[in-house]
Amino acid sequence: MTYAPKGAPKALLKESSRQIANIIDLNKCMGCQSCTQACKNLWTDRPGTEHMRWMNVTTYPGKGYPKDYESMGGGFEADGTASPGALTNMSDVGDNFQFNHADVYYQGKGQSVHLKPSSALTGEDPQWGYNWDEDQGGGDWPNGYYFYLPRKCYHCTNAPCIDACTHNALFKRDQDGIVVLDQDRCHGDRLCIEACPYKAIYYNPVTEKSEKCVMCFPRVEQGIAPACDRQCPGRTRLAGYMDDEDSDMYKLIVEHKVALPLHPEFGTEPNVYYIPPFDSTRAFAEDGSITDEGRIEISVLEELFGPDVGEVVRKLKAERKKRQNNEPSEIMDLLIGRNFWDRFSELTGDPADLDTFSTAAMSDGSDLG
Amino acid sequence: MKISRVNASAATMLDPTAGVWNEVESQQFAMVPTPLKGNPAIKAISPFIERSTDHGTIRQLSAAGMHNGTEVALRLSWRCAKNSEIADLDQFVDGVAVMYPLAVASSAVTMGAKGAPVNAWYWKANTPTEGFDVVAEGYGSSERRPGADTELTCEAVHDGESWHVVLRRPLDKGNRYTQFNLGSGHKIAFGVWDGGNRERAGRKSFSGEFMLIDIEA
Repeated sequence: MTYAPKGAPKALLKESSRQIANIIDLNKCMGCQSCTQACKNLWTDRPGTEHMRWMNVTTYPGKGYPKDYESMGGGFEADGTASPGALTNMSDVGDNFQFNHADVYYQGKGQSVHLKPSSALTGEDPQWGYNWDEDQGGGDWPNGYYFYLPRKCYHCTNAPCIDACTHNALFKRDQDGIVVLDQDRCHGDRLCIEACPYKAIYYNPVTEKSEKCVMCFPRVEQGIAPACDRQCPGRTRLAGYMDDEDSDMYKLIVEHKVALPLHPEFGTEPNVYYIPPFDSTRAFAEDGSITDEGRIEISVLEELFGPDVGEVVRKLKAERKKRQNNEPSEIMDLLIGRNFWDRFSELTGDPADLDTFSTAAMSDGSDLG
Repeated sequence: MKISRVNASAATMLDPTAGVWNEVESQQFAMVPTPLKGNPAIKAISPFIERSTDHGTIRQLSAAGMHNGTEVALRLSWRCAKNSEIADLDQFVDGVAVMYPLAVASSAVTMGAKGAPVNAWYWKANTPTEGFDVVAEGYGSSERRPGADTELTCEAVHDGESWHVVLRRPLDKGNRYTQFNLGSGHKIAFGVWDGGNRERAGRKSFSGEFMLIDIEA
């Protein structure tokens, strides 16, 4: 729906003619944070947004970003009942570290004083920060393991943030299903943050309003992939529309069914899908010999991607075996992505050509009064 | 409750500690928690806030009113720890609101309805001198209008135990705003938010349906 009036039914706000979606291949993500930086530079360099990482990459197993988001509640119960969760605080969302630049650079103490961060809130040594537990991972020695888990707003089909906002500030755009948060309607009540089980909405204490990933809609409108997708040097990303049956993304999600949403049990129907890590480093047996089994137990992946992930892992392993035997495998070809542009279907435009003044994103908002 | 005529300057009326406030009658109002569980109208605007629990910690509000022929002021007092800063992202500030009908049929419990709007004055503790003029036509429809437009001015003190907040406005602001007709009755309702209990939006205490008040000639 495009800008339904206040009081309009939630179902109307969730309607869209098309739905943009993503795949992120966790087998290829190397945790370089290029996507995080691309997003940060583009969207969250304004006062009050310093702590926000609309796009973020953390190590799994780990506390994630925001810290412990998986245990903060939100989303829907199995019968569809709304399940309000907790709010994130400044430390949870990675803080906004302040540095003693003046001491180090301008006081003639460069040889005795070292650069160190302090928490924006307490002024003390930080107790938590973005990627504080990077690469710690899980598993017992000698079979430790980890992988990277890039996350952003999932632009859910059944978005709980839309349900939660009493002012109908959140809605899906008709043309692409991107969930946006209207800054004019937002009162900063943060009911959306409580409702989002992924904690992908952030409070801006300067504007006293909440903000979230906008899926780079000004780029999408002009056929350019979102910055995080476009900037990925590892070709982990695919982007496109769910009605584009010729797209590589559609084939992997719908035809081959090897891409899964994160935490489907939250009941929000996310539109960012993951290729699960299917071939982790081989595990040691008790006698020290190397086995053929990966170190990541299927149960670990099931906690993230639900009960279907075991079948997906089996399928991906079988497909790779085919290629190793010189047999064709469309799934492997799609995942390799030899042609970068194939990954973005109709979103292959060049950001250099972006007309920054032509966005029609909010053009229907004039009736708000 | 009565809005008494006083002989005081606008500046004096705005001061919550001014002696003139001791000269007018104040009244205690019982406040009840809202949202009330199971209300389908609340569920429609937010099934999440409908499931709110442990809200409405403030159960009593004291209100007094006065006018000097050109300005009207209300002083609202309630016991509450002071929550006046959003220092962290999960913090909320205290607030209070006074609501009036803009139509004969306007209901306070539903925050008005289409064609029967309500007008409210809203104060929050992190912008203590700024009042927000609000119009609403039902749950979830509230719109803040710029304070300068309404000339709504506030002053607040917290004495360590309680807030004392004065909201002041010229008596006559035209029919887009609540009208105070001297020598006649008016209707009023209150809402109050305990920021320390994460109260905001519909999560608060309120005084129920509109109550009659008198405005001294």
